[in-house]
Amino acid sequence: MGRRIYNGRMKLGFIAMEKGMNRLIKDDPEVRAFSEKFVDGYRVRVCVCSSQHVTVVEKYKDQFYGFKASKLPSKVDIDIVFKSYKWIPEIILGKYGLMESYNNHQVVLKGNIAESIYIVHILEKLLTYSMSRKKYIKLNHREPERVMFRAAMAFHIIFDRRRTK
Amino acid sequence: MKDYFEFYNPVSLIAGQKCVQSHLAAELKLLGCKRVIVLSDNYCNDNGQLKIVRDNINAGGINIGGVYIDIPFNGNLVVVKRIADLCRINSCDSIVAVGGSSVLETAKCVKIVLTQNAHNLDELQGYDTVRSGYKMPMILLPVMCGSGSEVSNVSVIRDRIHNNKIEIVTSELFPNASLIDSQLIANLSKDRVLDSAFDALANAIESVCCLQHNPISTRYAYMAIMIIRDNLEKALKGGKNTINLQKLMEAASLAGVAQSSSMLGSVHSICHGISIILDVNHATAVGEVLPRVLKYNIESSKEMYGKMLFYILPESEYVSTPKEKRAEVFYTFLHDWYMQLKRGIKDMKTLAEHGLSVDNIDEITGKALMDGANLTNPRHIDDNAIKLILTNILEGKL
Repeated sequence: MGRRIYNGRMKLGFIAMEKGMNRLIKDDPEVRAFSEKFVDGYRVRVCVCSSQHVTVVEKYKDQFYGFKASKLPSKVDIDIVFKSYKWIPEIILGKYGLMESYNNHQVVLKGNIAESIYIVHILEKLLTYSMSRKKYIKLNHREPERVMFRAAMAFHIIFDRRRTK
Repeated sequence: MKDYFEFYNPVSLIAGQKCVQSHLAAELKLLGCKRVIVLSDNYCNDNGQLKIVRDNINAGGINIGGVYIDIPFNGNLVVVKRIADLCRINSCDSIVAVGGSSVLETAKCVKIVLTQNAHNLDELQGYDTVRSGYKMPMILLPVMCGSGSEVSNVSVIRDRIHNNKIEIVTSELFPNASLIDSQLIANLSKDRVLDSAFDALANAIESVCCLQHNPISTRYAYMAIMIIRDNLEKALKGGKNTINLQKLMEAASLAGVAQSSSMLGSVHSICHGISIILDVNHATAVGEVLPRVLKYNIESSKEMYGKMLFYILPESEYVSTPKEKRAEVFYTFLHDWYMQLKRGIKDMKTLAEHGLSVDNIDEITGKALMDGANLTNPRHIDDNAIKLILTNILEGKL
C-alpha cells in the first residue's frame, strides 16, 4: 500500500513538473529565455535510481511534452537521477531545493553541463512556488521572484491540459 | 542532510625532489605498462622536461610507442582525436603526460576516448556520462604548481569550433599515479609561479566554501592554504633551492584532491569565461577574480572565511582581528597580497592589459554563466553580479 502511495505521488509530481514548466515558459520571461537555449527535440529524463519510475519531457516549439509510459524513448540529452524514492516528494513539496539536493549528492545530473545548468534553473524557478519564502531565502540569500501567486500556479497545474506524446 | 558527504580519490600521489628518476619506471612496471605514449607540449620539449621523462622510461626498459608534443594551449577536440588515433595505430597500452594543465587534461580526455572506444570527445562530455570502461594506466607529471588536474576527475577542453569549453566530470578521469617533482619546474618564470600558486589557493578556498564541501576535502584545503602561505614568497625569491617550489606543487595537489570532491565555484566559472574570450590561461585571471568573488559570496560564507583567515595570517594577527571583521580581512588580505607580489615581478600584465575591456564584458559573462561551476557556488550568481565583478577588475576596485 505504502509503495502504491509513493508511486502515485511520484507520478503526480512528474505531471506537475511538466505542467509547471510549460506554464512558466508561457508567463516567465526568464524561464522563456532559458528554454530558448534548447533545440527542438531536446529530451530531459527524470528517474529514480535503478527503478522503472521514469518520465521524459521533450521540448518542441516552446513547450515541454511528456511521453506516455508506454512510449518512453531510450535516447535522452539530460538525465536527472534521484538516488532515493523518498527524495522526490520532499523536493516537490519544497522541503529541499534541487541544487541543495544535488550538492548533497541526492540527485545526480548526467549530460551536457551547460544545458543541465539551464534545466536546473528552470526547475529551481518552478520550486520557488512550492518552497516557503523563509526556506528560499535561507538557501538563495534573496527574495523569491514569482511571476504569479502560488495559488495561481497550483490552479494552473491542476487544470492546465497535460501535453503528451 | 548536512551530515552526508561523498569523497573519492584513488590517485597514488608520489612526491619528492627527483622522484621522476627514482619512481617513474618502477610505477609503469607495477602498472603492467609495456608500450607507452608520451604526451607533452613544446614548452616541455624546449626546456628539457620531456627529455628527463623519456630517458627515465627508456632506462626502465619500457617501450615508447609514440610521442606527441603539439598539444596546444587549452587543448582541443581535434588534438584529442588525433592522439587517440595515434595510440590505436601504435598499440599503446598506457599514457604518460608531462606538462601544464592543458597537457594533463588532454591526456585524461585521450584516456576516456580510448577506454570508451569513442570516436570524438563530444560524445562523452558532461557529468558522469561515461560508463566504466577497460582500465588504461595513466601517469601524470605536472610542470606547474596550480591547477591540481594531476589528481582530479575533471577535464576542461577547448572546443574551437563553437568557441566554448567542454567540461567532463567522471571518476574515469582519475589517473593511476601522479609524480610531483620540482626538478620539472625549476625554470618556471616568476609570473607563472605566482599565477599558478593563486590558482591552487583558489581551488583550496573554493573547496572549503562551495556547496559540496566535506570534512575530508576541507582538511586537504586548509593544509594547502598553509603550505602556500609559508612557501609562495620564498619560491618567488628564487635561487637554486627548489624546495619551496616542491612544497607549492604538493599544495597544488592537495588543493586538487580537495576540489575533485567538493567542486569549484564562480571564481572558476568567471576565469573560464575570461580564458575563452581573451585566450589566456585561466590561472592568469584567478588572482584578480578571487577576492572579488569572495566578497560577493560573503553573505553565505562569512564563517568559513573567518576560519580560513587562521590558515593564511600569522597567529598573532589572526587573534588580534575581531571576529566579525575576519571575513572582510580575509578577502582584503588576499587582494593586497596578490597585488603586492605582482608588483615585485617585472612585466607582469593585468587582465586589462591582456585585453579585458568594457566591450567584451558581456561576452565573458555569457560564457561564465554557462559554466558548471556556478551550480556549486555558495551564492546564486547572475549576469549582473558577474558584470559588476568584471567592471570592478577593470576599475581596480575590490
